[in-house]
Amino acid sequence: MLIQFATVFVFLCLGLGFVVVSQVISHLIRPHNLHPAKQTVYECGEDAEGSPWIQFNVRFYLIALFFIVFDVEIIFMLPWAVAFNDMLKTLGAFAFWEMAFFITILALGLAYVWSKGDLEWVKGLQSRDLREVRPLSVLTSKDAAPHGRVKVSEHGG
Amino acid sequence: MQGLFFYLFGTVAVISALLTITRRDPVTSAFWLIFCFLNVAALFATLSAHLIAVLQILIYAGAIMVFFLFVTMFLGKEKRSAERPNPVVFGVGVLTVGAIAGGLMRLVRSGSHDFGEVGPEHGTIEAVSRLLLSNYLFAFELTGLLLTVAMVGAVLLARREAKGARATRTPAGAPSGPAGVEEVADA
Amino acid sequence: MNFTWSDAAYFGPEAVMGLTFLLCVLGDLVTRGRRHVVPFGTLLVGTAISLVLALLHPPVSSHAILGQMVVVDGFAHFFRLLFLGITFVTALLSWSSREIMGRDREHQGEFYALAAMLCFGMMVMAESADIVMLALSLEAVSITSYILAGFARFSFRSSEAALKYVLWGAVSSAVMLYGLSLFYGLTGATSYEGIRAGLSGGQGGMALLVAILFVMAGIGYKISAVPFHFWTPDVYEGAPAPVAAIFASGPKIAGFALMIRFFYVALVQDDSQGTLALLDDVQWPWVLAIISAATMTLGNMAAIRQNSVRRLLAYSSIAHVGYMLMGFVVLSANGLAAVLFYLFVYAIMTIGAFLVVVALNNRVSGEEIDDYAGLGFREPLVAAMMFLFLISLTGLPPTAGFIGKFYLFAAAGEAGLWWLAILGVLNSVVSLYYYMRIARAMYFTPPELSGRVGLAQAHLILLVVLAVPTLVLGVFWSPLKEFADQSLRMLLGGG
Repeated sequence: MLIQFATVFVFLCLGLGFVVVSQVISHLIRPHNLHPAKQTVYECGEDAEGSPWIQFNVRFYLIALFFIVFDVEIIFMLPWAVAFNDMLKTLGAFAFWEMAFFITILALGLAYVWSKGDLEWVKGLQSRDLREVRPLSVLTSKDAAPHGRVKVSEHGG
Repeated sequence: MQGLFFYLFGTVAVISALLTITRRDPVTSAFWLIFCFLNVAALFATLSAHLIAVLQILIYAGAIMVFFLFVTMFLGKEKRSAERPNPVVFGVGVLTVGAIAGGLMRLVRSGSHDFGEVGPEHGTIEAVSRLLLSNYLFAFELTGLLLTVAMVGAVLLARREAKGARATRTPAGAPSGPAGVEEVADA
Repeated sequence: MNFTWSDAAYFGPEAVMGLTFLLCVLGDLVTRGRRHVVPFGTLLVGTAISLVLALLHPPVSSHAILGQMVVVDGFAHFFRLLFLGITFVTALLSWSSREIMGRDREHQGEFYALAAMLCFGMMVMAESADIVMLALSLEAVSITSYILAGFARFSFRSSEAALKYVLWGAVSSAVMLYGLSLFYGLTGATSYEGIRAGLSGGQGGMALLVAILFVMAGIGYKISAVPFHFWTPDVYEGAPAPVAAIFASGPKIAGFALMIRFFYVALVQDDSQGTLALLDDVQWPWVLAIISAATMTLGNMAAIRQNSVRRLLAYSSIAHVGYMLMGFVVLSANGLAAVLFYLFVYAIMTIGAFLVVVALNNRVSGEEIDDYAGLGFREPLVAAMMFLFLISLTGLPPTAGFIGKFYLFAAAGEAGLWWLAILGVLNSVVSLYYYMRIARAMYFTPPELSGRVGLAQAHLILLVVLAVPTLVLGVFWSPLKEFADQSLRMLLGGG
């Protein structure tokens, strides 16, 4: 059984080896011509402003949490699906219903999250923080955003 | 051969775990933790617990780590540096770990708890599935309920946090980067 | 195949509560979170059906069901009734509470859904017969509790309470899971019976002691025993008062139920003469006796210095855990019966005392002891009830608290733990001082304002409903004692 992982191990070794070898080779053959401009962060040709370590919006975190929940759900469905044919013989229809019940429970959770508007990025923003949303014209003018974060949004958009 | 892999992955796992707890920047720690999880997954694979090995990578090295990183990013740069540990607490921790390790080592050496080798099909997906959906069915359904509660809780608590986060924003009142993205998209 | 439809008959009350949780969420969704009476009504109806099912089919023997994961026996039945009662009462008291149902509050429907889930988790905790179920049910109760602790919207204190609760909870859960994995490693079994069989060879040694200590850390956090109690006052103070009432009663009692079943099934053997003996010479009772002494002493000493009624009640609940651990360590059926009796009484009087806080919180802004000044003149009924609950918490006759403490101290004395019993009595004397500070404020300090405070009718009725058993059980306690004895018979063999 262990031998089946040999492929994985070989793949792992090749992958690591490729990184090491290509780094070493490029280190050997490239010209060593240091220039201060080369050391700066590349941001689409613009001058980088501020630190990249900004505070993330909490909604990323919420989405990450929902992702984990459904990730775990998939994890439970995978072994069930693999063994389903086998289990139909021993358990009969029960094998189907036990997973149907599990999915129903989680579907209710999904319906809850959905109807509360937490899956809709923009709509959730409107209903919740309407007062804090600024019109685009304010946003794009320089003085309204003294920290220069607007640039980020332009690139992002 | 199996022993060789055990020591290889085990050593790397322990070293990366140590690096995880000694780095002072949480993001660096998180990356070492991913590396540690990958090695633990390899250890599971050598024990022919295939499904667990895959889960370890999918859930821990994947989903949970994304979550960790979001939380550390949420805290902001200023708070993202750990203080040096209190030497007394550190000493007590080291002693406790040493004592437990010593106790376990003695127990393993004594050979009194030998459960024999498991068969090659012990940790396969089919075997786990059979156990999960027969003996542990109730635990499985309870997990479903637990996940739903977690979702409800996230909606309940994080939405409030969203407003709290806005209150503690930069004094100039500038919108943070991602918020800027949404607002443009909104218009 | 391990599943039969007859399992469903034994598991009815729990299944109904699990379904109630789902229906509460669904009800909140269907009404778009506007008609909170729907989830509230669902919870009440679900709890009532569950209670009727439990009362109609009391288990006559021990049934291991659902793949031997849970055991339904008299012990489970006792706690089932207790948790359903707690859920019913706390749901009613929350409905009239400003802190949950006030006009500026959100997510009122979800509160009842979470209460249903908490009740479900607690019932499963008391029935777990497998370390997988132990961990899962404990986690179910913990996660629900974290959400409830942070329930108050926009409240900084509530957020702080929730965060403290989560951090402590996560650490102690992790430690406990490591302990449980050691048990699995030592015995190769996950069921309590299997662990006992695996350990009877007698070669656990150091690793077994570590495993027991680690599991104790997880449970100790849940019941707030001393080295793991730091979160208690902050959470009780920061969370909405109805939530504090639930926390002080429900999860704590569930922690005791889980601990009793785990320790007495997995780590104690019955040597056929009806006496209980320790497995493997690992002296866990000594460790727990020290924890018991430390818990009651620290809880009481800290309570003396408190000026906030909620913090005072929080420390007093810690002290009560110390008293109850006294009955747990003596390794006898009498000791456990005393613990069960006391848990029942403790639930009634603690919810009663917190109910007074909830009721006054609707009208009076502060929660300092001084804010209760003159309550005896303004609201004689409420003050009298509070006085009764305080007397019962102190353990003075003619209340149920006296009988409960008497059984606990007697069980400790009987087992030769005289030092612990004497310490318990001394602690009760100390507790009289701080409980009477509240009574003194109510009756001997003139009120700043006059006239009625004006409390919710539902709260007054509930206060009377809780006060009646506090008095009645102080006079006719034998039915409850017999119920407790009977509940334990199946757990400790010979049933």
